[in-house]
Amino acid sequence: MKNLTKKSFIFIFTIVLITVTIFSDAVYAGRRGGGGGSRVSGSRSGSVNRSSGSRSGSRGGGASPRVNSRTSVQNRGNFSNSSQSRQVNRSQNQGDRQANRSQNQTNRSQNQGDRQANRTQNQGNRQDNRSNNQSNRQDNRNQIQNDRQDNRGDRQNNRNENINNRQNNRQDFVNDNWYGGGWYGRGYYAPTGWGAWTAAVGFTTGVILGATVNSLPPYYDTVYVGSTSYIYSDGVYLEPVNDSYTVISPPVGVVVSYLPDGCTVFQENNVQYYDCGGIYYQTFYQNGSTVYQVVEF
Amino acid sequence: MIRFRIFFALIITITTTFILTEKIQAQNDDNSQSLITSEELLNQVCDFLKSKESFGVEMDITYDNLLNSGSKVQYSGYQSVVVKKPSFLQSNYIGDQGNRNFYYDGKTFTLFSPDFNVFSTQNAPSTLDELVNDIEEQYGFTVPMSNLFINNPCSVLLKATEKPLFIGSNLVNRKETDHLLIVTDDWDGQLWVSQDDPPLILKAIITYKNLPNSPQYTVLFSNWNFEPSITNETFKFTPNKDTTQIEMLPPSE
Repeated sequence: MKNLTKKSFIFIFTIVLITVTIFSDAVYAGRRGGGGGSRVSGSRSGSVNRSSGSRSGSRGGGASPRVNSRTSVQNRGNFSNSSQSRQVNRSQNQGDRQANRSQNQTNRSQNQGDRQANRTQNQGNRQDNRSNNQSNRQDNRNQIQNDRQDNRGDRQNNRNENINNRQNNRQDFVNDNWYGGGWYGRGYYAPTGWGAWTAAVGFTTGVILGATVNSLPPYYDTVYVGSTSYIYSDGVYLEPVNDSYTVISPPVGVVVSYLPDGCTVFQENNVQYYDCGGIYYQTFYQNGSTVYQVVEF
Repeated sequence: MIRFRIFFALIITITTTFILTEKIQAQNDDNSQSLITSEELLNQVCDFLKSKESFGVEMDITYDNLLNSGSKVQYSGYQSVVVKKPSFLQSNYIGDQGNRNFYYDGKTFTLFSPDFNVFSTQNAPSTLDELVNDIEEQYGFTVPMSNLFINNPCSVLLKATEKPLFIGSNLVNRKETDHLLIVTDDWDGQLWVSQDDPPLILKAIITYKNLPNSPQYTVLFSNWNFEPSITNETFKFTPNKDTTQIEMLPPSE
């Protein structure tokens, strides 16, 4: 009985030793595969849990300047924090701007009231003035009648001359002002990239200064002159007014990241400018990229 | 018969004990040579880079942009860099959102956009270490990964709030590397370090975790060259007659 117990012990001990020897490799490998903060050379057979990804597609013509980013890390790529703080400032300024906008809204209501009071006062004044004007007008009318007769003769001559001039000017206008989706003196032709939005908001013959829309173009940047914000899209500028947007002429000093099609580059006094149908932009670097600032020329 | 069994068991026991002892000894020897902490690994990488006066490296870059619509898209770029410490750097960058070349000679730096044939030259501090911070603060851009090319590349990496974390032995371009995570308040950095000697950075990712949608900046390093060809023109920009100099605006908010 005693011998039998000893034998069993020896057999069990032997089996345990063999098992430990065989599995010691596996324990060793497992330790280096998943552990944090340690590195072991030797066999590199630890399991790697990765999601498979495919790199498909090829690089086309580059990123479209029309597609604008809310957050861009294009010119970053360093282990540092300063860009980060700028981003935080941006959010802060965004908040301040919102507050200013609300304040402006309040001021606007106040002004509305003042204007109403003035209007009543003016109504009275106007009545008095009207009587005076009535008599003055009668005197003037007689005088004008005489002058008109004289002018008619002159005008006939001028008209013939003007017709010829206008004919020439119109041709120059077409040559000088580009129609490729931008400014043409008194307004804009809608950029082709705006697509169906143009017709949807009623811009059938062009984008006229002062026109108001309730929705924004398909792509746009919010740009600033000081603390005033504007909407920029492909050469066209809109100003937020209450809940809508009014088409405005390009604000001097505004900086945009791309120009509409059809601009021509030129230099004066070693400074590079772009002429976009009579609107002039100066080229600068900002945040490591080329930008364009509307300038008076 | 019983004696034979006991004898057999003893033989196996003794043999097994010898094998196991040898294996444990081998493991201990192995561990004493190569078991290092993630901090030590990071220091090894930095110290190696620090010890090289000049080098060249190429980078394949991808980065996220968040569109106004809220969608996240990825752009790509390729940059080759030549560094000569402490005061020379040149990089050529070709990317989806534009191409640009950067020259620094210890006195001035020049940013050149070959697409538009414009450049801007500005006075610069006398060392790379100062330059890297200077241009980011004053002009709002960086030469990608230039933090790693300064005299002490670890200075910024070790500012992390916690020790670097060893993620595992993970693949970069089908090659096993040591994968480290560096956590800071503003960004998380990941580095993949080659397991060969010398330890080289083969991949880096910066996650800007406080920006909307946490965009990432990814760089794959290749062709590390510690005997780059450097000529007199390498770090100096020479404009041609059609090249226009433009000014730099202060960085936008």
